[in-house]
Amino acid sequence: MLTFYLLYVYEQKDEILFSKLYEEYNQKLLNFSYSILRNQSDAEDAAQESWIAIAHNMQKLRHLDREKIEIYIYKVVKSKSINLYNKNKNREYVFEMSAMKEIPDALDIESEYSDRELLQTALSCLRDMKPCYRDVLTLYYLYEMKPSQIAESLGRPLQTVKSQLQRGKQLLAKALGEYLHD
Amino acid sequence: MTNHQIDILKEALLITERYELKALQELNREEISPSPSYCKTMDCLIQEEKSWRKRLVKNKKRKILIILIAALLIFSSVFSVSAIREPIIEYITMVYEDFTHFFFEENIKKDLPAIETEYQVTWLPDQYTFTSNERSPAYVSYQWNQGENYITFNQSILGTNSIHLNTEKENCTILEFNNQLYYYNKSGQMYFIIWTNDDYAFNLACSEAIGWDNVLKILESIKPK
Repeated sequence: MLTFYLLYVYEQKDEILFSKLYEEYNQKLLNFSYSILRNQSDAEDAAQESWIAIAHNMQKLRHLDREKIEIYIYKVVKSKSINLYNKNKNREYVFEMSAMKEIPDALDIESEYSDRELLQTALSCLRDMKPCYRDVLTLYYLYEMKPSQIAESLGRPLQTVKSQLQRGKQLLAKALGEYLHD
Repeated sequence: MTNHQIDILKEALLITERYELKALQELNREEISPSPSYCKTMDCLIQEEKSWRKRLVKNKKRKILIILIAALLIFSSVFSVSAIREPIIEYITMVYEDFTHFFFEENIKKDLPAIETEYQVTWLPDQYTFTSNERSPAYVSYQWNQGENYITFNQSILGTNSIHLNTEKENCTILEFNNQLYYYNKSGQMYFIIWTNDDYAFNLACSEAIGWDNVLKILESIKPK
């Protein structure tokens, strides 16, 4: 199975990293996908699609630290699993993510930035934002991915990604408006 | 947004994503193992994909080959567009003509007038017999043979047909004979002579075996009908 995913990894140096990621996260991703889909076959399909998307974007991941890679991997499999869930069940999957409510205020966060008000405003905006917009903004700003790469990663149509990116930027601009004029 | 503001936005995104990751990982409470049918499907996919993709893409020589084929396909597709192809062909023709041929006329007229005064060869060496004739309103051609040796004479209206000497291997020589300028050379086993008057262009080709003196006699014998 690993060989199959490796076929999508073009650079040899990425193969090593990909192999490590596969060994470390494959079981976790299957379990995670199963927790959403509650069906083993669907979970395997979602995991397979996720690994292919991850392999295609190894060039973006190779320079990132492990935390960001882990965030990306979970984001991909979350999106693929929810897509499959919505398609099969014909209804929207709703995440119960109580941990999101635990995001602290900027004042309590150790940050290298002194502009705490801006950070606080951005955090509030992102916390209240729909995950579909936040996912796109994260991959766009934090991972510096192109819309086409985001579309492949999240399994969404390119046009949808562009619209969501536009909408996400508008929400940010609305929230951060007074800071952006400085 | 300034770079500073983008950096703060990235920080906010990372903090948010850390909490989302924590939330997602909390969902990993049940463990499953891949099913046999899943493994079998994957094995089939591996064999199918491995058979061409890995060999094709990962080998450097093949990468170069793929690039060359792609370049060839692009060139072919571009060349199939007549708007691009025709100027290229014209350019190649122009280069070929400029460097390998000596031309009397470059621009050939589209509307062909008819020959009003036809010229003919009135003397031929012994044993040469008429073998063929081509004719169009602005062009007429005759050929006589004796075994493998032959004589051809062409007449065309000036500006309607191109006549040329092949100067790729032999230079062109100018001959003044009976108050007429002729351009000629000897290429291979043949004499080639071209000339014009006010209305027509002429071309005479004779096998070497005829001899230069006889060639001049033939030239002298060409007269209007």
